[in-house]
Amino acid sequence: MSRITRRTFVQGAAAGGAALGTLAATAATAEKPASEAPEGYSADQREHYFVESPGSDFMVDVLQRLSIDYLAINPGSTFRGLHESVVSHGENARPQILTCLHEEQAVALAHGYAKAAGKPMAVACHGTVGLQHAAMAVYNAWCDFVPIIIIAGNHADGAHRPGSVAWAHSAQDPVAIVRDFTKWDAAPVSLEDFAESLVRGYRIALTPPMGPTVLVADADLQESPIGKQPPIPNLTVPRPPQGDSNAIRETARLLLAAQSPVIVADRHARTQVGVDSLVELAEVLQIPVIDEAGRMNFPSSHYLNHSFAPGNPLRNADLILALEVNDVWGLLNRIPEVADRRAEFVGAANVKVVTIGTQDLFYKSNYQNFQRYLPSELAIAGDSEATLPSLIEAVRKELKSSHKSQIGRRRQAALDAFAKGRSKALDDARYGWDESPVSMPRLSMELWRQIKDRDWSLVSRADFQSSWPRKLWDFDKHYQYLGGSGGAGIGYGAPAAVGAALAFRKRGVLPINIQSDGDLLYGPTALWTAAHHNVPLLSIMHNNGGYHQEVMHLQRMASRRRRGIQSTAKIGNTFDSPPIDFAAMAKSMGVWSSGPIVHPQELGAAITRALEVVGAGEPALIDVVCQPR
Amino acid sequence: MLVAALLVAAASSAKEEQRDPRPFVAYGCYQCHGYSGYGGSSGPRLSGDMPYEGFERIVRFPYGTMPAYPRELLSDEELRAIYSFIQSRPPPPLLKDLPMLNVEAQGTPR
Repeated sequence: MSRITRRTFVQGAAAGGAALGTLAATAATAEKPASEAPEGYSADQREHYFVESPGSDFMVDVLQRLSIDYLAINPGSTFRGLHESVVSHGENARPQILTCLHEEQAVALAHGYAKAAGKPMAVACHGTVGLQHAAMAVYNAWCDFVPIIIIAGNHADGAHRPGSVAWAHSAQDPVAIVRDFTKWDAAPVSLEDFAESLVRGYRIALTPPMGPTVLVADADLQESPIGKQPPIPNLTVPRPPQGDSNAIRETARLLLAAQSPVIVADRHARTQVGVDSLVELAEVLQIPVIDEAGRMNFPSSHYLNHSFAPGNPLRNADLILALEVNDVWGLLNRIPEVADRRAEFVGAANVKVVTIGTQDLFYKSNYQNFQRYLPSELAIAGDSEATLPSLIEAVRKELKSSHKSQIGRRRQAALDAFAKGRSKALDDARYGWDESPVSMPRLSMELWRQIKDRDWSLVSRADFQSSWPRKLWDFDKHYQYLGGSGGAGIGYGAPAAVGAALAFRKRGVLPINIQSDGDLLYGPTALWTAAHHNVPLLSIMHNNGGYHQEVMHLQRMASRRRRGIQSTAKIGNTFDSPPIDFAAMAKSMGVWSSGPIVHPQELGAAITRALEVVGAGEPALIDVVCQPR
Repeated sequence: MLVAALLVAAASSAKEEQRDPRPFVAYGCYQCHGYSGYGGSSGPRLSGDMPYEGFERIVRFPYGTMPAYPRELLSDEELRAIYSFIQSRPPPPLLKDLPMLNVEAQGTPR
């Protein structure tokens, strides 16, 4: 161990770092004097028993420099050094440890947090086993283009592995299992390399198309003394790429020439600017917008929102502008769920498609989440939120008085279509209003009447509820809907809701989680994490007693094969016998709960009480026995 | 089990006589159309106004994603029981009687 005190080498490194355009000192390291040798120990004994200034302290400094607020973990010995440094050296302040009871939950929690906070958190995974547990949630984040900083512990040096379990928990290349669905990874062998790699990994994760990155934190590197304090490079995150200016002008001309253009937005809006600029573009040309809801892209009460307008506006479109759309092929094609599965083109013969998105900038080959290929008139590789202002400017520049009559006609047609869509939604919502099990429109409206005057966010996906909240609620802020899991891997919902609620806690936003029962059963202990960390979150169970999608699949298979349709579709797909007491489950983990509620008349009072609990800063759960969808 | 009990209880307590919902559930209609046939994300609301012949035609030779149910899987008798249940459902409340929907749903359209 060097005799240089922490204070002296931090000062020296800071001077050197400034010359190199890097930063080395941190508040944590600069203000703490090195501890003296413990009394009664020789130098050799001290070196035998103790380590001062372990490398993991420096790792915490790098995390602090990146303003990473949280480190979600399920503990493990391959990152015990880092764990202790966060708790002691960093005083569990920044980052703060989030105790998760499964690595998949830790990553999913970080996934929901990143979308709500607009910044990533870090997740530490324990060697081979931790990363394997985490893999499903990493895949969801990859498919959803969400940044997460994953730190994987590992014992690289076989000669230092403390026992047989450490061998089982170590790998030559621990990231291999998630490399196909992460943007970048590194296994640094020095602290200087660790700092550069973590800053680089953060930068890559935040550069659109965003995604998770992985950094291996070697156990020896964590547990050995820092030695000479390495510099920490400054972080510079690249600005999101705008589309090519010539292509933008061409898109403007195509939009102006089109008779029936439609805009489709999916993972378009990262901020309110993305929503507002889409509204501006749509209004300038009076173009209907279909919100595919990968994020909240367009206000639900705007008359140009035709997400639920009658018919399919895309069928008659002569131009489709697709903004960060996951499945462009699926906009104009479908493969019916019948035995022969013939693809059908459902668009107009003269339709042209223009895409703007960052997905074209980064592909990997193994996992097929890139969707089917669709030829397009123009494909603009660029971030749609960053590109729209240029497109609006180009449209305004090209807009002539001769365009106005057509634009005016589109406005009236759009108003009529929106009114029909809304009227239909309200009419449909009446059916089953007083029934038991509770209908989705009733559940949605019982919630809405009590949250609509608050600052709220629906932190769960809405398609399991037949999108009723999106049909009936007034979404107008970008954070009011966060989209789904990305990879449709079940087990995302509960922990992601906790992560989003954590991000909203300081901002006073009320998080609403309509929680699918099957999803919760993958990782119910996310509720404990919410209770442990005092995360206010209102969860309403959508308790339909099974994996309902799979019930329908089995029924389809049985009828296609002409056999066994009478109640057989439930076999292997439902968990309603015996019924699971979700309220008791939540209560057992320290979460206030109510239910099961089977009659809709009882729901309003339960929501009122639960909102009081959430208002006091705690999570609450109401179990509601519901219609299937 | 809980759901089946709820449905039977609801049927027996309805003001107008409502037919037995159990065939509707047992043969899986509820999966896409909801426990009372009021629709869901995968299946539309089922109208009680449709003549039986039209209803049967759709069940035997469906369009879209609905599976086909030939007689060997679903007899005429069973299908008529399902049809009777659909027809027997009470009408939904009027929109004017549901303030949550006619006043509070969404904001003012912009």
